[in-house]
Amino acid sequence: MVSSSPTPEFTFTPWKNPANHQLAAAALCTFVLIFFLSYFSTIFLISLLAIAITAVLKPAAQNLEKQGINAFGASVLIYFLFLFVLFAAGLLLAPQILSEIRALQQLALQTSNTPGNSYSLAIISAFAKKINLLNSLQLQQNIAGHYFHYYASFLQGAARFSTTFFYSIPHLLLFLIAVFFLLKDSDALHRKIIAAVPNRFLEFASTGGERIRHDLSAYFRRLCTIVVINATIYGLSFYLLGLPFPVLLGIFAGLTAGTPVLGSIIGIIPVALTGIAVFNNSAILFVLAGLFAGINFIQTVFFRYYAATLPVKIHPLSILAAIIIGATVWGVWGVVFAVPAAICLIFVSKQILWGMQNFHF
Amino acid sequence: MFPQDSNNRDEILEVLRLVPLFSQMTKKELIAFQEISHHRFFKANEPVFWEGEPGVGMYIIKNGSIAVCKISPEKGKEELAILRRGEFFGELALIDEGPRSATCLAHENAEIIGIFRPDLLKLLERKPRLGNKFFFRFTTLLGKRLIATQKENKKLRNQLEKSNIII
Repeated sequence: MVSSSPTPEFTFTPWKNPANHQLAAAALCTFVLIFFLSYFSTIFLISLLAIAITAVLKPAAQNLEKQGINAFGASVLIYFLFLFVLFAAGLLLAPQILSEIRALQQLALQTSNTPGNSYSLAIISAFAKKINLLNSLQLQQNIAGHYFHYYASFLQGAARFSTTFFYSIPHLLLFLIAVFFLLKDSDALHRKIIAAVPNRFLEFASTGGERIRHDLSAYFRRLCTIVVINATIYGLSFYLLGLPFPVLLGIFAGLTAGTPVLGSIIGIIPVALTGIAVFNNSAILFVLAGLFAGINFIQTVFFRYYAATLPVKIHPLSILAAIIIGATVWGVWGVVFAVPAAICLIFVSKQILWGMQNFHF
Repeated sequence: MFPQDSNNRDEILEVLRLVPLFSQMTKKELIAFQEISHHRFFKANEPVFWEGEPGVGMYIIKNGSIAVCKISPEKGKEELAILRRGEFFGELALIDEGPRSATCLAHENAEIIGIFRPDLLKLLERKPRLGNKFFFRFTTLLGKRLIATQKENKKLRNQLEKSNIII
């Protein structure tokens, strides 16, 4: 007689699997990025920039406190030092940046009024000699038209981006006020937020909140260092190469250097497009590729500490997805800030999951 | 920007003075600790923390009482101690994030003051002299507690030997 073993009951409980929690958190972050942040993009970006700058300035203020200066005095002193550096940098770079913005706007206007260009057509014809598929003149003209359409769109986007960044006095004031109050009151604000947390979440909010604050501050500090170092090196290199808009392109390349894996590739695109348009010679691509590779090599050798450490591991595909979503929602701003924003969201989600797994909520 | 109620501050300072860890601190030093403390109200039977949760910080009882318990499916809730005003618990979490060794519940409505490790470490980083003083006091108390535990251990061992139980 064969005894039949009882059939195990099948229960479908995906919400109990921690791996699914991470997936749900990622989906939620994507949802938030796509649907909500576009409405608050300016405020969000100003806050993100203010938090990043505060993360850089705060340790300096704390060092002064260790020397015996009180917390308020240390914050005010560091803030005025920051204002001085910002003012000096503005004084040095503002005329160049303003002239570059004007030239960029003019170029964007010219390019958008010129559908297609003989030079882009010449490049595509050269490719057509090697790739049979491109041997139709109609196709070549279409590709050339598309190429210039995208280039014109990028230039317009870049002009808008620069105008928003450098011309917007209210945004600058809001940013400076936010930095001041975050520097002076971030500890008190943190405590006020924790004071509002119910008893059961108090310990988690205290430890998880502090971990988020500490690790993201360290990340923002590294990010700012990478951006400043890269923007300076790239800007100087473009100036020496004789490229137009060296400061704006340098700032863009510096900002994208904060994006792991794909940052250099994104940074090189506008520079390469500008290089081809100005020099009418594809050899400039090799020069630029060599330049970017050289700077990345220097960075890997000398600034490994800043380049290598992220608060969370992030897959290149996630980076690509974040950039696409960011670019769709915020345009050029999104390309630059999507990955740092995604890294912050993933890190915060991970801390919340850690809390859910370790505390009895 | 965020003013504090001075009456409440004085009350917290008064309770901190009752705790041996802070008993030798000056008023200025106590204010530094008061500034990082969290003042909380717990209803009767409300958990402060559960056994096994990561240790985050210590609590000092300002008013009411707290029950230290072991809760198991076999024995249910087993009260190990009842702590009252001025007494403190969870202090080992200030130096180690290891899991809590017991559950603490409000025995009756209670007002407690929490001091958490992240805030403490930041304070001590900013004020290293205060840090030295605090940890010297902390280790002195731990040392005294270790000596007391050893004495208790010896006493129990003697009792077991007298009753001819071999261990």
